[in-house]
Amino acid sequence: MVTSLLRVEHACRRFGGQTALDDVSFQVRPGEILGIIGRSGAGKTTLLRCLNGLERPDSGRILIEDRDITTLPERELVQVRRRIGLVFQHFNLLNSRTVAANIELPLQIAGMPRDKRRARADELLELVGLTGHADKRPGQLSGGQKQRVGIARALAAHPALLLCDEATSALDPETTLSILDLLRDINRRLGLTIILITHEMDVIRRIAQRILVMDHGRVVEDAETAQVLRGGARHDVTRAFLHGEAARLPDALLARLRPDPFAGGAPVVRLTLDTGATGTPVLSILARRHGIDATILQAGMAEGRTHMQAECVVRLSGHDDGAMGFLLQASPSMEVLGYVPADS
Amino acid sequence: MSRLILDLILHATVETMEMVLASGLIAVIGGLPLAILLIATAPGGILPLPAFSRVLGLVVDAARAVPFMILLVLLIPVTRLVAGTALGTGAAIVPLSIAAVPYFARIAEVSLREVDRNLVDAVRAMGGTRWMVIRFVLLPEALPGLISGLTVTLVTLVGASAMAGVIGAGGLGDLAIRYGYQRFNTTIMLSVVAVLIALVTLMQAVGNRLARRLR
Repeated sequence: MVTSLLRVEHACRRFGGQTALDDVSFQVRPGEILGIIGRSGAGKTTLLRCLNGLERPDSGRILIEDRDITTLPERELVQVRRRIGLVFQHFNLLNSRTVAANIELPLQIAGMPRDKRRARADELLELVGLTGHADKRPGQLSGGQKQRVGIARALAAHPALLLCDEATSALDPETTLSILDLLRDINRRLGLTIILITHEMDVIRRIAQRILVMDHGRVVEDAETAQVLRGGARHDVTRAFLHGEAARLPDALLARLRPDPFAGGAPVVRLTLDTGATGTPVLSILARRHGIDATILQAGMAEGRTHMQAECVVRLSGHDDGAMGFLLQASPSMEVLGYVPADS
Repeated sequence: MSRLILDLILHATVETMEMVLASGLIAVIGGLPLAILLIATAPGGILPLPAFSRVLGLVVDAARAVPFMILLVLLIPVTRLVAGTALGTGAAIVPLSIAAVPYFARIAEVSLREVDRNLVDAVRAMGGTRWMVIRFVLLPEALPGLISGLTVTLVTLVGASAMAGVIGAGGLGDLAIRYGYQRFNTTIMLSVVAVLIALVTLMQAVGNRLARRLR
């Protein structure tokens, strides 16, 4: 029985003196969306190239549907590659072919007859919402449409796994959302396992159930996305990704902010609060029960995987252990940014 | 212009076209695989064999380094062997082809190299074989460039075929030398030049149009 679709065990890869993958191990379960995040040079690309057999790790094993692809000869590797659909950052569509012919490419590679290919291409065009664009050239499409073609092509040969390499990094925010929605929809409707490689926390926050953080070739965090978003991040790099996208504090506030408490200093904290059905009126309770007023300095909404979250920076009128305990419970990722003079 | 002169020019034009098209065809048949081989075996190619690639590149360049005039004379024994004679239009196709194959190979190589590497990787990652990479990616994506390259090769062949006229190949070059130069027939000389200009312009126009339509 296949319990994990993909299992990477102690994979290492070095280029000269550079370590691209350092003892990387993780598993992907069938039907899940896994987000792999890392800065450029963290080893994401090397990992991707190892996963589809374009490169072999120096040591360690990579098992896809229980077959170790690191030892397979080229001829059999070709068969394994046909089980993996790839979506690229820059689409990689052939301009010499029509949209439909691009989608048919993996089927043509697999040796499917022409009429069957065309039927499958039409099916996929409908799935990605591009019915009627079959005979256009990729050059006539917008970036978002090109990526939809890229996704349709990746799905053509009924892959067991969809690998997305920075699939939304070349797109504007609005198009990014529509592509991510499409991927989530495909995951739900087809039960397809998806691995997203990205440097954008937003992508992961929106659709990934599990997150893998890479840094200097290592996996430094492997956790449920919800848990990380709730403040369960273990590693600094993960926290950097989480906060990197939080709005920058106003300069006037930063100038007055001091790292340590002082007499008459009011704490400034960053809270991430659930909204919607599970949301509690945290700031009201704080005032009533603990007698502490909160002044909102900055606020915004962030879209979590299941519901909206409010992110705000507030100045508290006083410092009280009971109040802080309450806030920590409401927002486990609470962070004390510093202290400012109370009158400001 | 007399009927006779017109016939001479028409006949010579047909001969030139024969030489150019036949050697152009052989240039594609021989040069394109050579170009693919150069690209594939280059470092980072789909079948990296750096030593082989370097030797092949040297051979191609050596053939291109010899001026066509010298190649013509140098190849006379080979021409006799292949065509049975060193004279006439058919015989001229031998040295023309031998010069055109490496010429077109280098030009085609440039077009093939310009194909986005990511497309090659994409097809490899989809489980495509090397042959599929050549058939589905390299050739179709480079086609407009290859057409332009072939146009340049054909135009160069028009010039080279005229040179072959010097050693008795027939065609427009032969006509210009024998009638225009040796018999001081200015009318024929100027007519030949006009026909050559028209021929080259026409080829270039057709080539450009084809390449643009495919792009």
